[in-house]
Amino acid sequence: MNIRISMAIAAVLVAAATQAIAAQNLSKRATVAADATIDVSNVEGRVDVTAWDRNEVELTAVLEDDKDRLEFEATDRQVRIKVVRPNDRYGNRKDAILTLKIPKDARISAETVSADITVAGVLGEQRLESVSGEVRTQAYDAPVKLSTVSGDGTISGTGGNAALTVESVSGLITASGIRGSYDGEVVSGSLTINLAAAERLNARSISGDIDAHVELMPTARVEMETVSGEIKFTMNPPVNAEFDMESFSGDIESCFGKKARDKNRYGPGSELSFTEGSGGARVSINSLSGDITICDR
Amino acid sequence: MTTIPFGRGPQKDPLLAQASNLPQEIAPPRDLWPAIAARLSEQSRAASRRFTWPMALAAGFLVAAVSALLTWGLMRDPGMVPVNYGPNSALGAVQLEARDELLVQFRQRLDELAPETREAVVKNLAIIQRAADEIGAALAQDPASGLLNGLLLSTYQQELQIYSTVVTSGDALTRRT
Repeated sequence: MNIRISMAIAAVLVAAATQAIAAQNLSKRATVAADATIDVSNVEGRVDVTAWDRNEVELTAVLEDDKDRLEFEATDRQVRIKVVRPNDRYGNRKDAILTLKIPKDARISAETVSADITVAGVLGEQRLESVSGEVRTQAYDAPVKLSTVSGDGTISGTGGNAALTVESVSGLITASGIRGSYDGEVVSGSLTINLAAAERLNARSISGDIDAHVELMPTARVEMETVSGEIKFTMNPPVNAEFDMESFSGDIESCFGKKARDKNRYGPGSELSFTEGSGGARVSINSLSGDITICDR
Repeated sequence: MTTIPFGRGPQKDPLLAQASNLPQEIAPPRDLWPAIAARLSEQSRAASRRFTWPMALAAGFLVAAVSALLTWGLMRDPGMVPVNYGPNSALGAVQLEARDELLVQFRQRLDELAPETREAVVKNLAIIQRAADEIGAALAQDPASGLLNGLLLSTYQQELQIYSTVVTSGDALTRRT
């Protein structure tokens, strides 16, 4: 009996060792221009990108599946990294973990299916897309585009003037600490927006909620729209803006002392338009049945 | 021919005189009510047997099965049913044709997505359909509303965005080499 157990344990250990051997540990390095474009694509696993002060790209890759293949092509202007999974796109469940160091001024373009993407310290333009993976990044002055189907997204600003573009079907997308512009849309996902200073803010949803907290610039333009989601818009005082809000069947609430009025005497619809302070900024919010709340605290 | 004198009354009308001599009530030869009552009771029992609990349960299963079948059909090929914007939509044929072209690619790519992602996409297309229905119902009340027409256009754009996102997502990854 003991011999059998020992043999079984040995078999398990051999299998584990074989598995460990099957994993591929790879590393690549290339010298590139400071503002080179780095394209990365992966299916499952992770893509972790950090910036450094060298004009070099360093890649460490762990491919858990021995059938996966790593492509790495580099020129002075562009580096292309791709995990090729030739036979089994899904259901494999074996991760490919890519850890990258890139020049801080480089542009990064990352695309995954279920792999998470994390980017830190990259000052150049970013385009990050994942189907169901989670995307996290830091934004500075260069544009950032974040797109998911069901994956969540987080953009942490550092007070820069980045132009953010976010799109998701059902993901929860959070952006904070930005002083630039914001353009976001979701279907059932949610948009949580915290802008240090907003020059332009566009946010749309079908059924998802939009929660925005901003400091309006004097000439800011804000447009928000939802079908059945809830829109909550909070501004740091003092507020100098013209407001124009309309809803077909949702409630419009304001803490500025103004009440919404019926649009038609006998039909549905309510609207609220007023100027707070000296005006300047313009805020337009529309909904079908979603409630709208604006406040300065 | 017998002539009946003008004016009615047993004294003047011999027929009435005979009729007035008939008995006031005639008892039936046997009591028919017990048989009638038994028949009524039997019919009532038959009626209650028509809808029993097992039958109700079976009907419930049938409804659930049909519903599941429809859902499965949509899940299996949701691209078969693009969002319908109703008769009050201002969307033109050109816009809808452009959508149909994108829909072909969307259908191809949807099958390549992981099941949970596919489910999320299908669920959100259903959300868009519900939104289109709600806007359509509102437009029926106020067809000229700028708000409603604007929301409908945005909803249409969101539908296209879903198709586009699915078509382009993982583009570099799912391409076989």
